Amino acid sequence: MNKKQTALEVLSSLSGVDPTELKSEMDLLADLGIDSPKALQLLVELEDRLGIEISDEAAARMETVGDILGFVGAPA
Amino acid sequence: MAELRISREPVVFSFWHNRAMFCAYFLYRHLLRFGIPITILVSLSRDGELGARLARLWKAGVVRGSTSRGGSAGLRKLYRVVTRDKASAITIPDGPRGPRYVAKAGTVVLAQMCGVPIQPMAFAAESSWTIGSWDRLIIPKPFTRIWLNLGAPMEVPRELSSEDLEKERQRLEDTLNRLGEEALERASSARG
Repeated sequence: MNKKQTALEVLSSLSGVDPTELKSEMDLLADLGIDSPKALQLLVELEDRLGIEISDEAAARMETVGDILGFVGAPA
Repeated sequence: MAELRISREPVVFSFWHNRAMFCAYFLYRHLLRFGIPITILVSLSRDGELGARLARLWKAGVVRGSTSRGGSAGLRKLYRVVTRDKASAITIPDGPRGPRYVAKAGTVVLAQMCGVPIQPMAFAAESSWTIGSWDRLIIPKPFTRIWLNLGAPMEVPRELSSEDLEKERQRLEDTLNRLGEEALERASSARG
């Protein structure tokens, strides 16, 4: 599974939205309901599954699906 | 504390920043030195470095970071420690720089995500020094009597709306303040 698929799968599991329906402009909170607790889980899952570290500064810039994909190096 | 030594089920110990010194020592005396794993979240500041060294001296695990943001790196590290290593955690809800006695949401978020209760704590000393820091750090004088107040464990529901999260944050704040006031009343009564 490539980085994009992994990121979309994680987003899907937390939001309940099918990976094929996730769009880059979707807001994590407003559109996907990913609030603080789910954001914690999202970041932990991405770090563990992709073997990356996400700084607080980078995490603060992640507001949309596109931001997540861009960070993991898999543009939408 | 005896129950925790036996069950070894993790909790999130929580106390205000100005009571950290004695509360952390108490946890060393009753849990850490018996091999019960506890990890503390310490800020990345210079003050935090002192706290980190003290924590390691008392055999606690240390994670550097903050709970200021819900998804902060520090909180993520603590989440792994609690859920994978089954260690308890220590968070200081008004740290690293206050406002004093105002709880940030990170402690509640951590307890919620880990599915473990918050164990609120406070203490008062019959005689103590108060440092002129932002938190007015309390250092009990040697040989003084101390009243430690352990609140009932706070269970946090796994599913919370934003409004409910705020209510839980406020509940933690109110609990820590109440425990502190109760301990102070007992200390005052003892002084006569």
